[in-house]
Amino acid sequence: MRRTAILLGGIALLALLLTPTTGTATSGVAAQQQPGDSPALFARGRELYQQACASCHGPDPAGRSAYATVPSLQDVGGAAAVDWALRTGRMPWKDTTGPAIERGRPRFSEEDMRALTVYIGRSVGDAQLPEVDVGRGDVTRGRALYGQACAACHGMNGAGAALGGENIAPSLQDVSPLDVAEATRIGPGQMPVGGGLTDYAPNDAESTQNVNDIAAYVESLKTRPYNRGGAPIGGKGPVPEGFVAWVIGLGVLVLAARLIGGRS
Amino acid sequence: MTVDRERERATPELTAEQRGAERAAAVAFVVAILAGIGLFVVYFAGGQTQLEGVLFALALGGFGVGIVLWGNKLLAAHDAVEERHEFTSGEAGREAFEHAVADEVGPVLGRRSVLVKLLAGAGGALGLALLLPVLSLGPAPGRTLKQTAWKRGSKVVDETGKLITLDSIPENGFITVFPEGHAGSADSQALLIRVPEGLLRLPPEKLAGVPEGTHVCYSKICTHAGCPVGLYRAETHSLLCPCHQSQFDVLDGAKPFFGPAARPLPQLPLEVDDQGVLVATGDFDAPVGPAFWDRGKP
Repeated sequence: MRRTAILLGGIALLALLLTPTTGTATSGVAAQQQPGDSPALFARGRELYQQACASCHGPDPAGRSAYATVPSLQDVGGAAAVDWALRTGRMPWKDTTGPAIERGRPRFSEEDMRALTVYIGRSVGDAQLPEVDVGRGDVTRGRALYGQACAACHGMNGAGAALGGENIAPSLQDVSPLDVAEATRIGPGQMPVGGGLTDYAPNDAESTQNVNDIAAYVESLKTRPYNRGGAPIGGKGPVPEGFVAWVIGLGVLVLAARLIGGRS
Repeated sequence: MTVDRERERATPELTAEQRGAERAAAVAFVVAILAGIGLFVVYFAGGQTQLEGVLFALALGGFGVGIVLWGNKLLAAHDAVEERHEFTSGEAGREAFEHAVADEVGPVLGRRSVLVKLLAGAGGALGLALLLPVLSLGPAPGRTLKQTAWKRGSKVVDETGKLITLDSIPENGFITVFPEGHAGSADSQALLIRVPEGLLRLPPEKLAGVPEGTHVCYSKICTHAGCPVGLYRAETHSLLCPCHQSQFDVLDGAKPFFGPAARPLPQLPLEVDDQGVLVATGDFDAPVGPAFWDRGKP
């Protein structure tokens, strides 16, 4: 009996999870025809929410979620979190086996993402996205701040790293400045809120400048990768470097030893 | 045997190939000598790790290449089989043997005496280089391993020297902090972490050093090999050391729960002064960093 219930629940969940994918395909066209005015956007957001999010996060964004393992959107960080999760393709959840830490292609059109962000943001009472302007960022200062706050996990080159268990600090080498600002604000997953910056506060002028600087540094990695010399071997640190040292380095030594020690 | 010896006597001079090998070995030994001396000079001129590494590699490598060339190309490498005969060699036999040794070994060694000297030189230079680690052993560290720049009343600042208050960190945030006047100090660096209220599981005497029960501060230096434990996983409230994956439970006194570290990260007791600035109420509650020989002694 219980097993059947779980099975049925599983099928229902799967069906619900698959729904938004088909919904998206048709919604792209519709969204373009809609004017950018707020009430229509809000209504569109509510419609999309019911299609794509409600099955897990509950019918009301500010209410309880449908599963103990799924957070209520009241607690995730408002519009910034919604926008971040949607634009980086982390939501809707691609598969049900692991944490939603892998980046992917966004599943919604720009307009639909905006609609969802507006709807959920207003529903939970935090509709503001962080402001970020790379043009006002200072790369040199950003590099210093990045070294203090971000580099421990994401690496000076932004390549990311393993954090133990199934946790990773994702690569920052292809993220947008808005990603940087949003992630710093909400602290997604294992990331600390404020990302390790002193006196971080959303909307605070100094914090905004700090985030601009860091985003400018992260942006600069796209054109000027950080490399202290030699082959970076993925830039991920000791694991690939150790692999090369042991397999190639030691292999060459073994061959050399055979060459020297061979009977002439 | 006899035929062999005859053949060797007939060609006592080194072949062209052997002369080449001799020159190459000599060059290798000279390289080793120069690199060994260079290493010594660099060490006393203040030291430069990468350069010292290259020089040490050249000293060892030159030595190795030299003796391998010598062994492979210059020493007689044929197998000699001696037929059995009566146990005592006759007078004539012994004389013949001595002659043979003198003929084969003596002249050969003599001819290569330059090489022998170079080998000794390379060995000496290398030996000199190996003395350097011994010179680096002193002076004795005294109490410096057991104390840091933190003391009662030290104001907490970040890397830029900015004073830290309770509001400097958002909930589930963290920053790296130093004692005022020592920003950037390696052994004093600590992690100040703000955890949600009521989560810390600390004994009362440790909880007393945690302002508001939320701002807990631990040494940033791993107790295993001294790497900076800078990876804070806010969701699980755990710290990860990137060097050997030691993991520490922030809520439970930074006790290690995975990896090679055996001791918890020392805690820094804090309080809030009347200006709202965080200050230390003393040094860390244990020596920071990896174990050392008299760590247990006061």
